[in-house]
Amino acid sequence: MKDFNILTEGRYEPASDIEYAVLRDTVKDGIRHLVFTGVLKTDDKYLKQQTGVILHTIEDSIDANLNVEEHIENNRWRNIIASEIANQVNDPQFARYNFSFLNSVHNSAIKTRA
Amino acid sequence: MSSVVDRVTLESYDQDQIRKDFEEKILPHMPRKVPLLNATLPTNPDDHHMLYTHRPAFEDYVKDTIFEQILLDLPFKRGRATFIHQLPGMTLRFHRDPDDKYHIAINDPPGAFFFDMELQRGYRVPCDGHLYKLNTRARYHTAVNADCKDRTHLVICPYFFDDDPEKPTVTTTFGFDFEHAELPDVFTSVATPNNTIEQGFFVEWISSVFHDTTCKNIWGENTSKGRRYHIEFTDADRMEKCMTSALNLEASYAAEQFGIKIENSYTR
Repeated sequence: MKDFNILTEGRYEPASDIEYAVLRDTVKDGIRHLVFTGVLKTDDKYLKQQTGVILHTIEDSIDANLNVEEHIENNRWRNIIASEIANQVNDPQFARYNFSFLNSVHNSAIKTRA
Repeated sequence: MSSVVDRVTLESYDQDQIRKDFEEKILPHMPRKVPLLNATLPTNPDDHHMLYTHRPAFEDYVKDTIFEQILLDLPFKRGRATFIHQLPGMTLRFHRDPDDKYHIAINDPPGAFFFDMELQRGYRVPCDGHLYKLNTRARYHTAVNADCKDRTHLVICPYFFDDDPEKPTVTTTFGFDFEHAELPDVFTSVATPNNTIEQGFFVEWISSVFHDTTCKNIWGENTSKGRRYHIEFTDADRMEKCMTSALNLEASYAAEQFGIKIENSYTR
């Protein structure tokens, strides 16, 4: 694990890292559609108990000729993602994607045939 | 930021008439076991299973009641409208809807409340003949009836498709499969893995899909170990944007962290 200690000061155990990934990089009509995300990977028991995924995503449409890595670096996307993830860690039960809450009694959001 | 409960009508309907029509014409049709009663119908009976489709027609028991007039007066296309009759002590689990809901309170006793999870606060919906918009889109919420009397609301969903209904459509599918996933052991016969995965990961994206005015329909089909959504648009470019949006890709990536397999022909 890399040294990423914004999240681990105080109440959290160490060994947390952010894994970055380019989720989309396609070019259409000279425009590059870029979606870049970072997800928190942690061994922290408290965070893991929330059964949620803490992540943050950034999207942009840029000139197809621009270098992707440089664009991400120049716009400090990793720093922004790390900051947003640190905010979420302060209240991890509200991770945007999780198994913490169950569905309503009557049905799912989209009714199914089966 | 909009508030959680907003009044949207300038003039109120007759609350006495609302209660009278409910008790005399609607309540006799209310199922006892699951007290939910449908009010609106799609033109095509084959679409009855779809929650998020155009429902311009009315159930017979709604005709010639004040509820028919309330539904006809709405300044948007009607989707599903349901009478929700919460008996004393009845509550829903926390969930989030893909859309905001419009409520007209028929009975809302002092011990009943709508609860917003994010703000950790309960709200009354006044029984004053006005229509209220509740901010339920992608927000965890529930309704609790801790009173000794019934809480009854008519709950209305808008239908957002605003394109030519005769226009040719394009279709696609999006699905998830949890066969090889690591799932927490929290499921029941009602809170199934499919419902829970949909709630926990895909409600925001689903919401963005059918708020697109060129999305004509979306409905889910359970598969052996997952769910597949059938999506119909009148604009192929808009459909591609929805299928490759950051919201979709982010939710898919989050689900994949648990080993849930995603099926999306636009990205794989």
